Amino acid sequence: MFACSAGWPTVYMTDAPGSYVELRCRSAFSFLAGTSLPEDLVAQAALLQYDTVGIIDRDGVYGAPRAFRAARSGGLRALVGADVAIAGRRLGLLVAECRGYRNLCRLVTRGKLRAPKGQCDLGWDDLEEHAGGLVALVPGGDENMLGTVEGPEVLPRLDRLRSMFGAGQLYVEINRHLERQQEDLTRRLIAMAAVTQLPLVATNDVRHARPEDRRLLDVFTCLRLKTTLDGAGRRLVRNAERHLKAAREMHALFRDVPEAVHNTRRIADRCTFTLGDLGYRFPRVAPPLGASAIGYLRELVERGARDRYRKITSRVRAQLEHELGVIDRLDLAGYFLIVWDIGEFCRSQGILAQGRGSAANSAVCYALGITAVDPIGMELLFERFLSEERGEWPDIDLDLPSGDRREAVIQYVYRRYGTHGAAMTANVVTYRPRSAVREAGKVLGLGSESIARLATRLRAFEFRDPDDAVPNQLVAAGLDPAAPRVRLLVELVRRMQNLPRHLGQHSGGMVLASGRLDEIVPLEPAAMPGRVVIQWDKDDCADLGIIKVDLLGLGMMAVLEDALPLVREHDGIALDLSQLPAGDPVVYDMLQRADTIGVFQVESRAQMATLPRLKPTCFYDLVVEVAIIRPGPIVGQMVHPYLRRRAGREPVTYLHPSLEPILKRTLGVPLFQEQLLRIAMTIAGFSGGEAEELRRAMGFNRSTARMAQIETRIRSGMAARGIVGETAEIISRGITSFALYGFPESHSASFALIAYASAYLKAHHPTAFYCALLNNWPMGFYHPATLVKDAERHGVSVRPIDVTRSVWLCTIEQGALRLGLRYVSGLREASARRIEAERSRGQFSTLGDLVARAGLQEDERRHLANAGACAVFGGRRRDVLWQLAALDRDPTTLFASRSSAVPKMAAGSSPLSAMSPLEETLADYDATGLTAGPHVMAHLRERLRLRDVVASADVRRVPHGRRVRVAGHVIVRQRPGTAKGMLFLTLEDETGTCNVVIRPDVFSRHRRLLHTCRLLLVEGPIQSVDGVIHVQGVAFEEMMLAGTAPPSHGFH
Amino acid sequence: MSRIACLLVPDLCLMAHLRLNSELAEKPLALTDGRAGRGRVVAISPAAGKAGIFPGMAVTQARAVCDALVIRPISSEALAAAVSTLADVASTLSSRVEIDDHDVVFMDCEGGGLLWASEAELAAMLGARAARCGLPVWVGIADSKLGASVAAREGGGLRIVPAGQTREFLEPLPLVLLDPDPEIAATLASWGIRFIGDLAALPSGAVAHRLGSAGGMLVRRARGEDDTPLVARQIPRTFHESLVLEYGVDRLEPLVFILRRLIECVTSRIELHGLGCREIEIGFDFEGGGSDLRTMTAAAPTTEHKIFVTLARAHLEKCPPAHSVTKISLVGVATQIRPTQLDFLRPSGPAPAALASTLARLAVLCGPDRVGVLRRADSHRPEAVEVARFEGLSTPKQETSAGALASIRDRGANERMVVHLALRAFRPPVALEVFERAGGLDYVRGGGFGGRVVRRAGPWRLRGEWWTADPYAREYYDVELSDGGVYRIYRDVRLQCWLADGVYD
Repeated sequence: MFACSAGWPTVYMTDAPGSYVELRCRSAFSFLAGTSLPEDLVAQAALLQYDTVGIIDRDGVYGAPRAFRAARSGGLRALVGADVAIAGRRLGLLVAECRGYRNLCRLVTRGKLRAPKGQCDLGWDDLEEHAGGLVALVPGGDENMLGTVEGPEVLPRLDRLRSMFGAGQLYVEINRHLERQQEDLTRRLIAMAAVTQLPLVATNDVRHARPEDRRLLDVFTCLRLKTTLDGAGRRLVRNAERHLKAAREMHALFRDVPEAVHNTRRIADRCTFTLGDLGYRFPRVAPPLGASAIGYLRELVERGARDRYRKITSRVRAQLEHELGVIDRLDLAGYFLIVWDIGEFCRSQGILAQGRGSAANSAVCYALGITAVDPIGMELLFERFLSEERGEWPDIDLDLPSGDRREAVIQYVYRRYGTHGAAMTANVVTYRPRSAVREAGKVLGLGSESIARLATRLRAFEFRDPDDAVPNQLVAAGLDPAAPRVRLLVELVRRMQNLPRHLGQHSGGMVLASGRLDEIVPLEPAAMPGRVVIQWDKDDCADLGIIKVDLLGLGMMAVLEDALPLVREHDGIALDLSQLPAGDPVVYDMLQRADTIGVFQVESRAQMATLPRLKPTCFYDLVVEVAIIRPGPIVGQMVHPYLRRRAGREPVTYLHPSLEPILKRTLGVPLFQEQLLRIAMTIAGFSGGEAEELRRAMGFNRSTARMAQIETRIRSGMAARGIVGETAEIISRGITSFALYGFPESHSASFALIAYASAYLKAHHPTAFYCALLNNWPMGFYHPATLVKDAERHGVSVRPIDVTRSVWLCTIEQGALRLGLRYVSGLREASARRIEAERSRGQFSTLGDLVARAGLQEDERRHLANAGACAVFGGRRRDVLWQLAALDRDPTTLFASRSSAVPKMAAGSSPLSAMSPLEETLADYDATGLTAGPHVMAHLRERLRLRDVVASADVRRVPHGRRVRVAGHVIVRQRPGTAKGMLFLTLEDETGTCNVVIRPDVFSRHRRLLHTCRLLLVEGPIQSVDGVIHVQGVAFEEMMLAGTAPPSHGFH
Repeated sequence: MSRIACLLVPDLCLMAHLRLNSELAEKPLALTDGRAGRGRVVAISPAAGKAGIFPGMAVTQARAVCDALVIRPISSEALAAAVSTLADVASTLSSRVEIDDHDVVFMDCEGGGLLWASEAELAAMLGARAARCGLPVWVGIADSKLGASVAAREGGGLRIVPAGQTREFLEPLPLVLLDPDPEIAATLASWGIRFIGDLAALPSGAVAHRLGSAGGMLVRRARGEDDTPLVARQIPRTFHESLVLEYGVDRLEPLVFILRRLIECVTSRIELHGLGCREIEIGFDFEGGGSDLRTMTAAAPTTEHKIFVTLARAHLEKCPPAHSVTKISLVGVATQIRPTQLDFLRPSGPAPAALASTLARLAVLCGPDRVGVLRRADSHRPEAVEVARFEGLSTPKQETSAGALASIRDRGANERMVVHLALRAFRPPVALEVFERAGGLDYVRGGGFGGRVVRRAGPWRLRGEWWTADPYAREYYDVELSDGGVYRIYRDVRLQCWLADGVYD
């Protein structure tokens, strides 16, 4: 009569804790089918005294590295597995041995690459091919392999699985979640196992680490099914039993089938594989016949060093020998050869490439041409790049020109190492407040408008007013903070933080393997066609010793690459970026004046406000400048102390004597990530591994919880060394404020080199520099209109677009910069190329000739005429437009023009009135976004003069504190999160730029005007400190024009 | 010389929206050109204007400026319905009414001298009638359609251009009032033409040569001449209204609330023509695709909107939409109102429509959840039920799209459950006393039965609806008692009490 006559004891039998192993845990990397991070599952397993735990995520091994790392540090073993769908029915696979892992990776890869992104398509034949070395757990249930155990297909299906896996590798999986309906299925499975003589195995099919996480499982279920909690009904789980349970609890649940529990231990013992046995080998670049990898590397370094250093001094020789010795002992010669090989490809294709990151500390990298910073000259420490003690892989990032040229390098790597030998690393996209609010709000059924409003208010990088606390934000979004569902929203959003949402593609990280990468980690298609991505992110790869090369796109690299040939051609100078004159006074003078529009990394408003105070005089100053305007130093309140010490207004002191060697170069103020790592090692006794953990916690995507753990460790380490009280507090705050945004010194050095190169070009070869800059836009901080005006202020003669002279890109013409056709709005590149091609056959003689031969579309012709590009044919702009309109309609006129019957137009040949100068400027902005003519503010100058408005160039002469009026086109509008609500504007007029700062209270009074105005008149006192000049805006007025003003540019 | 009146709704997009959503009239409202809070603002309410919102703003920017801003997408269907309503108003005073391509309504004023004393009185009558339909209207009267429409716009309420003075009236006005094609407008702007007089002064042949016939016509219009004569429209027999909802509505009350407003609009428009509404078709578009269409037929043509509201409510209670509704479309079919003759041969009884109406009224009186039959709800809570409509009533026609049908089938498939024994459920559950010994159940009594526990199975745990005000957490047991009965009992973990859920046969 009863499903179970014995009943279920509520007092559980005790059993040895190690006798049960939870083999099936889905982590949050099962994407909406699990709610706990692998680390949480492992931590909970450790708490329950498990010694082994199996992580089986859906269609992949996404969470395996993190589980492996957590298990290793917790003294547990994490079994690797995946829950895969075979012909639409799910099957659990656990890896028993290395062969099984390779099979699992290949199986998942096959399914993933065959199906659209996010799905996996596998059949029985695929499973049969890859069953070796795996243990199969065959579950029952609607979606699972055995269904309801009623159909005639079940036994043949089991027979086939038995023939694939063999008797000892195939188990019938049973669960007991204290559900009446499930118990029926479980009893059938037990009976069927008896009939088929297959062993049983008990699992709890874990979806969340702890019972209280069940709420999130319901939320994720709703998100997966695209419904709400109210609408999900019986599609949600019945109870909160799918959590990790103590061994004695599992023994009690399965006391009628004890062998099912004992078999978990048997399987765990059978599964000897861990990710420590990955067997990864990086590919080798074949050295010439008879040479070893290190011998070949030594030869290349010798050759390169002679090129780089000209004369190899004993110091250089000793450094190279030291580095090569370390490389040899760590058996990393092959790695350097791989990166050198990529660099060689770039050189052969004329693609500028430069190593970034800690590689800048290596003389070998410099000699191989991988980096452009001379670490010996810069006194950079090689050990920061590579250390025998740390025993980790070196990390070399290559900066490449963005766009097609970077893609060419990526495709070369694919070709070189094969589709299955190279892939992009993944980027795990996690829930952030905004996405969590949107999704949790949706499933709770809260009003979409309120949710959208709340999510919009959660701006990650904008300043948050003091009243931006959660309850205030809820009220502002129209939600009642006391309402039960709103409280649930807050709780759910908190729980969702940092959980993986989906897998993206890393911007440039590529992993390489000798042989098949798909035997090391499953591959899957990326959203971008032609790209393949692995299931792990860069930190996972680093943990498991998988080699990674970052191929990063950098717009300024493209500028440098394009500028060098222009300099060679037009200035007759063959520049070599590695041989630029160091310490050029013209460059440093320009930097000290903050004349840096267009200069890499130091062109932002904040950088320009710091340069006159820092007054860089050498390359290392530039390295500091690049690093100092970052949220880390700003939030850590390190910028002003450094500047004061540098100006001699404050003595150089150290919080602790042991910090002096670390902070001496930066005057006792920690500015770089490396310094913080060394502080942690010196002052808190961090091991190399712990320092590495700290470095990763500083990465953008890592959780704040992880950082909190590290902070505790720092404090205890300092306390153990007697550093307590305020000193400990300051040091600890300094380290944690770097948590998200710390900038490495080596990165800064590489960037500083590019900054120096770009500043050098701007100072000495401005025409080539601006030409390349305009050709590679969009990039940097400023709109082309500003770049053009800045170029003019630097003596560059800018010529307007001319249909008989301009080509697609901007060019240099007799020393002047000729704007390119790419800036004519609406003109297609193909059309521009046709203009160039036709012109090469013979110059256009008349407007009709252009129309007839260039094959332009009507709107393209009009845009060209409106931009003044047809002025060469005579007549004023509107005469051309009038004539063009006739040509568009009347083929007779067209052919007449073609035969040069009407060779030139005369001014006033139409009934239309001529454009005023202001109309011409506005037409320029409208048609090209910029103007080579007068600045728009020049047209207002007379009016402004009558109102005592000071031109930007004259602001410098106004004494501190005096109230002035300035006016200009708003080219920068910023309200950074680190500036306590201040609004910063940059106004541009025909004489230069002028900075305006606006206090929060003033901003809130004039919010609408300051948000939207294009041409602004500002009144307020001048603030002039250390050569940094601002107008503190207190009164504002929008400047009106007889036409539409060019758009402003805000919130960069 | 003809005399034409032009009826123009200022800020038509906004007014068309407010006509169907009058509760938003005082709120800061912005209409956008994109769905789901994207795109740009195209129209704003006065309150939004005061808050600093202006057309052309990006939606994200607008939200940043005004937190309380209500954002809705613009609806072309609401726009069309508003314009048709305006034409319906004009039709009450003239048989020759035209809606032009720019949603402007023109009416021929010639020969109406018996209906109005002066053109000013005519304009006042039109304004009053349009206002009753929820539409403020500007009226212009001139010699031509163009002159009348510009007069309406320029007048800001009422402008009558004296006969024969239309060209002089137009010359100093901005060119934009001629509504030139955007491409032509851009060309003219690039030519520096800003006023109607500038264009009128250009040689029309040369302009036509450059801008085509549209350019030539524009010059003629600038001189006060119409392109086409007034073309009278046919009196419509079907009247359309629709409303796109900002988010899916899945509850009856808000749905009926919206329906009431649409039905009112349709019946009042039909009434303007002196007709009655015989039938109303209600179409629903669902979230995630799919749609259905329901037809409500009145026993006799009527202009009483309450009858259709009651019918609609009753029908929706019985056959609620399968998914959340994102759009409602209404078509009212107009016919002549005639006295009806009852059937002599059929037995007396309530007419189906009247019965449906009565049940609907009962539902309103008792509450919609208290009229009907019980049905198991989609919940793990065993006693969860919901009220469904009585079966057996003559149901209005309903066509369900493939998407909705598939959903119903899926829902049925998910309800499969294995049951071994028949359980007589106690509703409400019966309170019990349960005695435990050594961690197990020992003795049970209450609800007219009791005895020592001979055998038991369980616990089966149920825990859910944690997001509601009434979550549940229970441990169920099946127990065989010494009295010979087999019962399903449970411990309510939240209330800390034991209850009997039923007895097995």
